[in-house]
Amino acid sequence: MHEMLVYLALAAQSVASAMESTVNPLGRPLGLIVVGIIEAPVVVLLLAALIGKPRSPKITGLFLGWVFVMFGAFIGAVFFLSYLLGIFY
Amino acid sequence: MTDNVDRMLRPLMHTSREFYPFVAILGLVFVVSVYAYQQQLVYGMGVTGLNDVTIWGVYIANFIFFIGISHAGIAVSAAVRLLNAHRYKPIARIAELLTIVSLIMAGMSIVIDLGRPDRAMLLILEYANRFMYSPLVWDITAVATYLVLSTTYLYLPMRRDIKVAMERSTGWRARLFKYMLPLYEEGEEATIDRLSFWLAVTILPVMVMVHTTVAWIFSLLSSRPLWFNAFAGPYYIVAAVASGIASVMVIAAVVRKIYHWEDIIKPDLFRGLSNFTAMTTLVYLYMMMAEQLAALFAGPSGEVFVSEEWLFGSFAALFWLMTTLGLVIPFLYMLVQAFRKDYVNIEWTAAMSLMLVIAFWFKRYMIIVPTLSIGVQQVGIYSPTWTEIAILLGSFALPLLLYTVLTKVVPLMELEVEHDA
Amino acid sequence: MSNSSRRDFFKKAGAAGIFIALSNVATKMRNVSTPIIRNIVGTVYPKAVKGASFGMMIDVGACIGCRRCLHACKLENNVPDAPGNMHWIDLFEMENRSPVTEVENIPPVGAVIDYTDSPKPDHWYFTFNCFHCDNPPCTKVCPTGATYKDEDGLVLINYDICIGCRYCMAACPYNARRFNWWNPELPPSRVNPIDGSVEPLNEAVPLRVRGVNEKCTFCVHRIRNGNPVPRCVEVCPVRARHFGDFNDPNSEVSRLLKTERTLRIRENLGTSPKLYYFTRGVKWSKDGEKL
Repeated sequence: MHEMLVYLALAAQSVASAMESTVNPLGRPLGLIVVGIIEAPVVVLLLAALIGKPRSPKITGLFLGWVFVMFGAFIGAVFFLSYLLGIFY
Repeated sequence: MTDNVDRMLRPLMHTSREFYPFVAILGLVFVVSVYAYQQQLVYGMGVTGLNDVTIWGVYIANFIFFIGISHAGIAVSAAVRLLNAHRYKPIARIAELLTIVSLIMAGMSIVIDLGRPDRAMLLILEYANRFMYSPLVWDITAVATYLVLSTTYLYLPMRRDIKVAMERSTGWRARLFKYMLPLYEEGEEATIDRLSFWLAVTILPVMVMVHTTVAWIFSLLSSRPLWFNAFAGPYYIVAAVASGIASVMVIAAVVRKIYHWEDIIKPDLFRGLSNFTAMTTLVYLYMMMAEQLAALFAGPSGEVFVSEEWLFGSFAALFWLMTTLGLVIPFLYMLVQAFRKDYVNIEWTAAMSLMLVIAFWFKRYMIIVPTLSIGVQQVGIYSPTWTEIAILLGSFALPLLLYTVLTKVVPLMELEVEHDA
Repeated sequence: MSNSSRRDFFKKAGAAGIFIALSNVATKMRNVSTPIIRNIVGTVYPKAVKGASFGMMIDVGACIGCRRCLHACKLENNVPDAPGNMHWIDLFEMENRSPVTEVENIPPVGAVIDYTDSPKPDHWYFTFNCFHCDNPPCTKVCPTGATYKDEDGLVLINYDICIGCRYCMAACPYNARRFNWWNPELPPSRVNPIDGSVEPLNEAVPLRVRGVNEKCTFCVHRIRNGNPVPRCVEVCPVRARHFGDFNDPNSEVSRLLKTERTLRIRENLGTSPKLYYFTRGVKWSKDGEKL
């Protein structure tokens, strides 16, 4: 718990320092807002899956498992493709 | 009744003789494109017609095009679920499959365009450092989210159809369907229906964001005329919806013909879709006019150059062909059809939709190429080479191939259609 | 993650990958015909000079369009001639009556790129390389952080993590970035077409491979190691190029910035480029003689 708080504080600090546009040549971190908007509906979905009714642990597990497997498959595909095409370089 | 369910599951159980040559031809085109891509990998991106000024070409046009197509599936099937538009249910899954296949192709288009695709994993390894700044990373986030959600949205409601298919099949097919149905429990349908409803609610905003972030890749670059545009998001979304629904109509008409589903996919359904496509095409034409007007009427010099190149310059032939043949004529056809009571000609509607889809591919090409190559007399001239054409053809053959193979694994029709009928 | 540990990670991950078995196939598939000296591959730059802000000032009145800077730059920075004649510095011949505002489009409207004899009467020469902007649009859009602005104001590229998406080229308003469309071919030594001197491959500059981006670095290997100026400034016969640290009030560019009337290209985009243009009048006569 304690490490978690320290980590969150550090993350907030890095965001805050990124906000200082004069120091950072990259400008304001607008992507925080964009990615937040992209992912916000997913949070709603997860909440609905976990607390709505009717629900069964089996189906909720299936749903979460499927989402994680698909996410892993996406990342895995990118890595697989990278290594596969690496034989040309 | 039993007879009808069997007919709906027929693509899974039987494979016609025409299936194999079709797959073989698509496979051949795909193999040629793989060879072309191998050339590109070995010799470098120089085998394309791209140069230091026109840095993006058909691959990126392809990327926007496939992202656009991918919107149709979810738009149709989320509308079915959220708006209770039950009459579109027969094509919901046809459209969802199209979404997934074209999203995969969109991702591959990006990888094909990379100079060093073997480092594509850096997009993920550097994600935490870059997502705050790079619009390309936002787009990858949105596409990944959309891909995960739409496969979930395809799979969960499909479980009950797989169950029926499993009960009606024997041998290896029954085993395959059993593997496709893990953790099955009696009476799970109510839970899944609720989850599917929330998935539909979730997917719609994500869908909007996917195409908005695609638009932002281009529209946030302040130095590029006609890209730098605050209404790029809505502009791209309208194009996506129009081209997506049009491609759903094409696929639905083909599937209807091949599997003799004339009584299940009713003409009425095409009528509704074509009316909607006509409307979105009109909105798109309106936006195009607004864009060109803003560029031509005392615009900055770059905007004027690009716009004049579109309308009267070296891209004029392509532009006017695309606009008249590809946008205005299909729109007029669909408009006239909409005013005739209870009339729809499915063959013509599908043909017009195909023209619309092709026109939207060229529109994406028009978005990318003139903006990059303009203002440059000697070095900016771009014309695709055979490598690019081969890869382009392959990128159309592969989704068709995937789609054809998927129809043999995935029940193409929601069997509930039977109860509604 | 630092560069070296990232490379280590790749190595380990690669070793674990199943494609290690394909390494024999790999060597056959690679385009190995190019005579690149492999021992200087890998992006390593000297440490940034703290508190500096390097920039350049170009006297367009003095420039005679001889292209010495262009060719010297190519030899200094191992920029390949073939395939595709890549160069980090661009030179355009402009007509005298073409207004400065036409420089807004790069290359400017009516500019001649492939001119043969210079200087020509009633013409002026517009030259540029990477502008090393204070607010660079290219670094914002890079999806891997391969291109970045360093502490001394140089915009550099880490060739080892560039994925070649060319988004930075789309974002650059000045067309200053170059892409390795082919495998760069570099012989061990090359002849400068202007003065006939033979120069070997520069061991201080990392080599690029096909599919990555590159551009002017203000000769980072020179200016960070005590050499006061980049190669293009050194070879200029008419001293049209001036280089220095804008944060140092005694440097040449700081003095010029104070005394001369300067102009920057496409300043409305908010990039604040560190390449200033000025002129003290034409320095050569109608027949190309020095005044």
